[in-house]
Amino acid sequence: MKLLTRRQKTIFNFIISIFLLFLIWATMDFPSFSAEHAFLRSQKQYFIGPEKSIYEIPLAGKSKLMVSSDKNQIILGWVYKGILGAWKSDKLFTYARNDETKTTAVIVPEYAYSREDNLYNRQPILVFDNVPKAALANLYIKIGSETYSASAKREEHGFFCFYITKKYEYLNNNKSSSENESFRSLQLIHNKYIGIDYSTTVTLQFFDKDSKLLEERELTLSSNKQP
Amino acid sequence: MEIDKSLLSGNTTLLVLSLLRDEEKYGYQIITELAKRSDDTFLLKEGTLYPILHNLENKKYVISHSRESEKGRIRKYYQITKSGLKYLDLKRQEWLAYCEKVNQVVLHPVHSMT
Amino acid sequence: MDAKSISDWLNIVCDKVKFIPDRKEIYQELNNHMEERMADYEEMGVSYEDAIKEVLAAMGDPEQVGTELNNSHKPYLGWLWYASKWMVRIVLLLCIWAFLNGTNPLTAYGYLFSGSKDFIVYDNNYKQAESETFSSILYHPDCTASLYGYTLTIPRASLHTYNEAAIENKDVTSATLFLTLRAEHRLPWADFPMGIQFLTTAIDSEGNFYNSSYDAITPSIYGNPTKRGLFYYEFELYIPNIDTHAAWIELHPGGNDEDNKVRLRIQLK
Repeated sequence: MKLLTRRQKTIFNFIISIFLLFLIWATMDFPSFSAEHAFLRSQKQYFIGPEKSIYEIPLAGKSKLMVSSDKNQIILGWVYKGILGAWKSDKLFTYARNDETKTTAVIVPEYAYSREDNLYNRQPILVFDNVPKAALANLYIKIGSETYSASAKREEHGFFCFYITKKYEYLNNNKSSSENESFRSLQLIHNKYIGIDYSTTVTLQFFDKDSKLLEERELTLSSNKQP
Repeated sequence: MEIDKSLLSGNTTLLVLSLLRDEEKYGYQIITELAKRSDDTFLLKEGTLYPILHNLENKKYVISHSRESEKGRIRKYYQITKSGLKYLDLKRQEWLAYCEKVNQVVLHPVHSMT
Repeated sequence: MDAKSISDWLNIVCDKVKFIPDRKEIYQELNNHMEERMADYEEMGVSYEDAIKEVLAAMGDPEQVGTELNNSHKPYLGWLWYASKWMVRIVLLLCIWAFLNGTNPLTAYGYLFSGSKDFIVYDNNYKQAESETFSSILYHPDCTASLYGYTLTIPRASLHTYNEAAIENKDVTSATLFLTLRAEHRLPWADFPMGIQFLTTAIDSEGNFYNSSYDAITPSIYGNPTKRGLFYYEFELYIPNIDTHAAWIELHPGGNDEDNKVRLRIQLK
């Protein structure tokens, strides 16, 4: 063993290092090296033809909530960064998009992200539209006894990301607790696994870039196909 | 007899490898053995032996390992390798051929002028 | 430059060697050589100062020796070897740290070491039993299919038949099929093919169609992941209300897609 030349020892050391690095990667359960790759991998796990992400819902923590869509569904995936700086996916949700030509509204469920991600008071709602001229949109939704509104700019791939913020979050009174209750029930839209089959409607107003009203629509929130 | 050192310069490798042919030796041993075999003619500058040995090791003609002597001194022993033996053979042939040709010229009978 | 002592001489030599980590070894080797020479001179009775002069003269010009040694200790390979040595040490430490962290479910990314502890294995379903109202038959279907690089097999299946006619005088028999689906993959980094639990549909010999969780609110086939290893994953699938007259049931693990001709057939009779 001692009769290895310096060059052979160097090569041997490199081989050992590569082997140990593989072992480390295996111990960590083979994470991906980019968030995008982890997202695509999780799609393959569910046999969904991998669609690249078109949007990332901004989260506060070290994880990412990635959105992509194909002609049948809207895909929402949560990926997180672990201790080695590599990414792994944890949750994937798909929402039916029965007709690409129709508008689909999706509520991002609370269990799509973790507590550290800080979307607690800002409920995201994604709306995939088929109004190409729209530059801006308003959303109105009735949650509990109150009506909430939000507006958003059209994103690159043809959708809007609205954030519904709670009105009474900083007050610790009856109104805020009933508001919390209502928001909580919003999470249970069309949840197959709990056996819930109700939904709620949203009203949308689409404006073009000159702020002229193009269309007004009403639709129900879409159901998730699988957790 | 004093021999011009320049005659030696190209052949130190040959000498060193020859000395290592039978057994492994450490630096000091090589110097003393060389002096002994050549009847003190080849008194190689001892410092220059080590660059030669390290160079031979780089080329994988010799291999070194350290061992402790009785007095507790750690000595670096050099051992010739298979490719070193091949190289030694080659150099030996070269040297013998060279000698023969030199002899042919130098020992050429003087043209008698009778 | 004239060296006044052995250590001076050695330092001049070593300064010429550009690859620093080798300097120590060179210093030692040459030092030992000169020490032995000194010991010889001492035996011969030469004075200390004379001996030093002789030894230094015999060793030659330190700058020249240093330069020649430098040629044999190329920094390029030297640094590469040095870097490789340190790389192994760092990676080894990282590996030990990863092992310790990987076994801790709080910090581990995935299940490699926590293994199957999070899953429930339904071994009880596969025990053969017989009674007036209940019977269970164990099968080991000899079917295999390939789906997205995974080799699918069914190691065991069990048909539970409930004969309620005996209890309530009704001619009602119902049956539930439990089966373990095993997906094997050559690559250790292949992920759990979760789609199988949601997409598997089935047909039987009587022409019945069993839909998956993906298609309907009330599916006919339910699934759960149960076990994982480095090269395999296992699911537990169960189909309640299977047609008791069915001679065979054929699973379509890839879903109902017409393109997907992946079939696993279990012969029941």
